[in-house]
Amino acid sequence: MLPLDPHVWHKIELVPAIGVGATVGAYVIALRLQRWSGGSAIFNPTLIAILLLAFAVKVSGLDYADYARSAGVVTFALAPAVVLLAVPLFRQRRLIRDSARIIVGSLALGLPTGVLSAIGIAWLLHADRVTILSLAPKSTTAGIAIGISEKIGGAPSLTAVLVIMTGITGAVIGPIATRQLGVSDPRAVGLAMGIASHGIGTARALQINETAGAFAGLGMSLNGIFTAILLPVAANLF
Amino acid sequence: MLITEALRILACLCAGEILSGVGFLPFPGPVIGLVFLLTNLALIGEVPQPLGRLADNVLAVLGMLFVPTGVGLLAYTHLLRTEFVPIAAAIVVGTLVTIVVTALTSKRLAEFEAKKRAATEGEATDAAA
Repeated sequence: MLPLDPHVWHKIELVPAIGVGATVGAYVIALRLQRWSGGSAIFNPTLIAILLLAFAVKVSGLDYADYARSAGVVTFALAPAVVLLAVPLFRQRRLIRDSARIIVGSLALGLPTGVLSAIGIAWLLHADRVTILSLAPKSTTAGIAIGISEKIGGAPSLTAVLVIMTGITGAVIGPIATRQLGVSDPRAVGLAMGIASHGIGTARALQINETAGAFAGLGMSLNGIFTAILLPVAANLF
Repeated sequence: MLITEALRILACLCAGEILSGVGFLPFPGPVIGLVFLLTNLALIGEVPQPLGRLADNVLAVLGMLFVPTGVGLLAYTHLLRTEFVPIAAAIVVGTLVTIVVTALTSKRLAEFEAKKRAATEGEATDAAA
């Protein structure tokens, strides 16, 4: 008999192999779909994999929390992966050293633009206070954003979801927008994608070339560090 | 050896998590770990081959590591529906504006630096002449 009894499902999903296997499986399908679509921007593998899994979790009647626990290793792997961003940064160290002014200038404008545009638009459109505060750190990477959201009175788990949506948005529109603007310098493309859309933007920038990837990783790290320092202080003033 | 490189990464990460956890540094553990690995590489002077390969392979699927967190939208379907317009506008317009501002800033600064470099090089040639 098929295990359609909810108790049976409950017993099955607790094994990490299921959650991790489903996540990797969904991502492989998403990569295939992207290749099949001829590399279309909207077929972002992170986006497609999330939609596939959200559908699967919903249909199977499982709880999101059960899936998240089961796929916990994948989320954990993000931590060593961030450490590994040191490798492209080190390989590009000379270019980074020569571009110090470009990096500092882009961050000085990009960071406040990211925070203020999100807060401003949500406020103008009458979003709830908690939603606005949860949106404020949306351009920083998930781990950092959750910590900031907690500090300023947002909802950390909502922030996590908004962060992922921001990352996907940046990964999809970043290459198109920069091309339209006539920006072809991989340093500029990388910085813009890393500062606006953190790790998912960086993942996309790494596909362009290593220079774009390294500058995206750098933009993401610096943006995360300085937003974590500045945003709670700024939030206290209001 | 690959396992040695894995240990190098984990050691950097653990050191970062500990410094972050005790509140010694106000940054997340992985970011501190990144700085440790960078310092370590600067001391070695090169990227050990197995580490380079590991980094390339892991970073190629970086986008996958955000998937479980993203599925968390299931817990917020109600909120995402009631506040769809402000949230969608803040994310899409906000991200687009941020990309445009950042990309144009770095482009301007890059052009400025290139012009300055060309000018100093010109001066050098003039002086030589």
